[in-house]
Amino acid sequence: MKRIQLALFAIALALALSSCAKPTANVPHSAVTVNVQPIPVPETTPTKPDPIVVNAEKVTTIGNRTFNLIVHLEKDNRSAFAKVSPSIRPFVDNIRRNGIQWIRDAEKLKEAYKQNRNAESKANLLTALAVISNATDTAKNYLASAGYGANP
Amino acid sequence: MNISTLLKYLPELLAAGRSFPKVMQFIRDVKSDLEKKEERTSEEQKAFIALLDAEENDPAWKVE
Repeated sequence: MKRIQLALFAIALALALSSCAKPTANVPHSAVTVNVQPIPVPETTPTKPDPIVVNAEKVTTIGNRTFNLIVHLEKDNRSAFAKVSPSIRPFVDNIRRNGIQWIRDAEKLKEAYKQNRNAESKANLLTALAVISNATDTAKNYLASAGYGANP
Repeated sequence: MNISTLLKYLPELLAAGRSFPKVMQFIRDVKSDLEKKEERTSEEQKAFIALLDAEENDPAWKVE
């Protein structure tokens, strides 16, 4: 099996080398003409999704859904939530004051990153996403302690 | 968000009757969000921003 693989490799190598352009020693470089055909470019080039952007959108979408869930549940079940923990309401009120702005900020930074994908724009975006992730995790823990959820 | 553990609590949530439809909808939505592998289309982006605008006028989002 190895011999066949080696033989195939040798044939492929020989073909590749034979197709390489070899300048002739007697011919000056200026005399060599190369016929370059333009590479056809499709009208719409498919772009690969950027994992930073995909992840950013997951964080903002899930963050927003979680914030929206906890503000509604807290409003609908205020007394029950207060019995579970008096610190839930201040946390949820903080979400009410800042949650949407955190999401908007992250969205703006995502667009800035898409315009200019460098280390600085990436770091700014990740910092904004960390704020949302932390608040989402805290919301998840409060929902769990109130009997809605995630942690046993 | 750990969906499998959240799902484990569904019978209890159903028995308690605690905002069950909202929680169910949340689970369905988040499950689909987690499976997404593409960037938002421009239409999806517009819809997301419109959702944020709507939430700003939602009474549940007002601090009392």
